[in-house]
Amino acid sequence: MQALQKVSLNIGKGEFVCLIGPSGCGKTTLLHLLAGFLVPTEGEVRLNGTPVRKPGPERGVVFQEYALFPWMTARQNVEFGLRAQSVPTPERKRRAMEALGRVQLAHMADRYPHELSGGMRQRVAVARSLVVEPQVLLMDEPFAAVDALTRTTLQQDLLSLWRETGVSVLFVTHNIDEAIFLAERVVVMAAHPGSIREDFAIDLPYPRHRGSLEFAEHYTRIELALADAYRRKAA
Amino acid sequence: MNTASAILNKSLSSTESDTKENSVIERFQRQHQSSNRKRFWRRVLLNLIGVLLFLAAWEAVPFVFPEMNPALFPPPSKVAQTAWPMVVSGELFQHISASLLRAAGGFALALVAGIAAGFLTARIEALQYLSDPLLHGFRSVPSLAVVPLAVLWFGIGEAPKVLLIGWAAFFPIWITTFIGIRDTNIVYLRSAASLGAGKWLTLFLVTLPAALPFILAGVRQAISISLIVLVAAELSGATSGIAYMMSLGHQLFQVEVMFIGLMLLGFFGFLADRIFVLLTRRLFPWYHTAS
Repeated sequence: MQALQKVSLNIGKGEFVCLIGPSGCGKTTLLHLLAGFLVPTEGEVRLNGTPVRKPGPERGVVFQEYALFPWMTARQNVEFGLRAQSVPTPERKRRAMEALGRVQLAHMADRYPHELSGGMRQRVAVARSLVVEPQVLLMDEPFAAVDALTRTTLQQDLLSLWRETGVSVLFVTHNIDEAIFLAERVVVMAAHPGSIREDFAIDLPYPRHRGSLEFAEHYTRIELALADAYRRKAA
Repeated sequence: MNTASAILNKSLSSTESDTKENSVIERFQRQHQSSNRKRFWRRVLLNLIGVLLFLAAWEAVPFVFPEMNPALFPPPSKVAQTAWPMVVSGELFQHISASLLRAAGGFALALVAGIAAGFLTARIEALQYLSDPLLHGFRSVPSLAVVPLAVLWFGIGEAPKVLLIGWAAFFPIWITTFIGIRDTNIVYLRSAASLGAGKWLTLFLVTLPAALPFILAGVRQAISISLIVLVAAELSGATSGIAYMMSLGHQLFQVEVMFIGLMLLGFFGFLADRIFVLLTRRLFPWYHTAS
């Protein structure tokens, strides 16, 4: 079965792009291609001109949930990527604590994932990905499973991390509000076969206000494009 | 100036309330701990009372059913009377240590071989298909049925007993390790790969810990199987051991001795299981609540 057809997407250095679309439109497939979990049957994925063939630490991935290793504490989870690079123990510990501090979880370093709330777990997951200093952060509906209030805080914190680190972000979501709040570009996908429908630039300054008129205008435009994509899916 | 003092005031009052909060937290934790301790001792006490009630009921059997032959169903006081000289002479201890050594040896063999075989068959497809019919076929043979053959081949020395126990305990460990490693959540493997982990790091820090809940289930089963096969192996020919002592009691019509054996087997089975549970809690604190 063909999941994606004629998809061309360029993400600039330091850019924040959201992928949005109905379920089954292949947004997760696209993200897995970029991560190197899947190999395209046709076409190519390139990072700085080099073809991507397998997963690697220059492309960090944050999953929806349950991706932290439950047998490791928060700090051990964050240290894992540094261990893979054979970073010596004291430095590993220092950098892991620093990364946990950046997501405001230094005080939870010795807790296991099951002792953390859903939002905290996703913060640890972000810290785990960022500690190895990736060039791109691929996020697959990372905040879908947390409650609405926590989600807002997580979104704000993600934006400050993005600004601090200068990492490029590709963020998959099915929440229009989240996409407009976060991204510089919102890419709308359609299903059957998965393809890119439209590419909206969100030229609003940060921090964005959900109550503003411009926000509502963007919302309406994207909603229309999405409704169109859904109609195509139903047809 | 005003704002500065206001901020200062605020920070002062906040540290004050912090310390107050801390003392509240401490008191709460102390109370929580002491109530936990109370609950623990209450539980131990009830456990003991349960055992004592059982022994009392057993002791009362000859009075309630006077027509019953006490030589066939001796009360606990009679069993204790027989057991005491055996404890003093060290005879009982000899039987116990002989049995436990056999069970532990066989179990250790099964643990190493089972985990290795489970891992290899889960990871190498050709090996899995090659060994599937054989392993499942052998697994289907009740291990007690192999006992007479083992005695015929190896005599009644220590080796056949340890091997028999190892043989029987191998299968549950192998099959649960196989399932645990085959069904490792792909998200864990993908996380490890995108964090740049190599083969060995992934094996020891991701695949094996992820399979551990399964492996532990097999290990627990293997512990009880070890005891069952131990009895069968000792009954079929031995010169020491708990089950040997029981068969001697049978031949000499000392029913008390048989009861001593039964109680010992029950006790050690229970003890092994408790130790297992305690160890897993200590070594793998994440295990009980992990998904």
